[in-house]
Amino acid sequence: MSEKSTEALIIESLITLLSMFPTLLQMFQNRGALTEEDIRYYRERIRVIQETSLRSFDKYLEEARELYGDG
Amino acid sequence: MRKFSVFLFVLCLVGCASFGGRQAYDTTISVYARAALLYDMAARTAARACILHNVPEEKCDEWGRVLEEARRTLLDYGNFLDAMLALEPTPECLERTKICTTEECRQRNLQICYEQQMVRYSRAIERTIGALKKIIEEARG
Repeated sequence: MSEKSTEALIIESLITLLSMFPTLLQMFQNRGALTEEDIRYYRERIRVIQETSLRSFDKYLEEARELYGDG
Repeated sequence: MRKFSVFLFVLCLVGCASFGGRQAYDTTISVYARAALLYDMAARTAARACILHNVPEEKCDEWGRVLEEARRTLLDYGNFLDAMLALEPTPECLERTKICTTEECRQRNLQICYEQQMVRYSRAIERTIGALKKIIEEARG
């Protein structure tokens, strides 16, 4: 991933954070309004995010070793 | 001009969020996905630097500790969102309703507890993004 897109991601994350609390509150207040299908969809998205992007640092080190050797 | 664009963007996000329930869920999950992606990027950048460049072992260990804390925060936050979607009280909030004898008290305590948790997670995610940004900058040298 390029440097520019990393910066964009950081800025986007920080900006979006500003709306995080009111949005969470809105989500809590509407939590009974979703269909079963919606709930399954969102829960699946959370699970996929956790499995694909939140691996332990050791896994990343292993991958880097495989890719680049020992430097 | 740039500041004004940022302001408009934030205003749009807040406006969109208050427009409908589903939109609030989409925005929340998107924030989560972006924060997780930032973790992924920080971990990749740090691992690459540790293997390829002459980064002291202590520095790599420090990055490892910060990344693990960020990972736990993001996993906990995801589990909190999942509990909210499943309409299940989190263990902490369940504990807070035990003193109640009426449904009204239970609902009120649950809401207060959730709101406190939301504030806590908002702050924790903010700190996490700051820490991940720092790792990316350091690892790039």
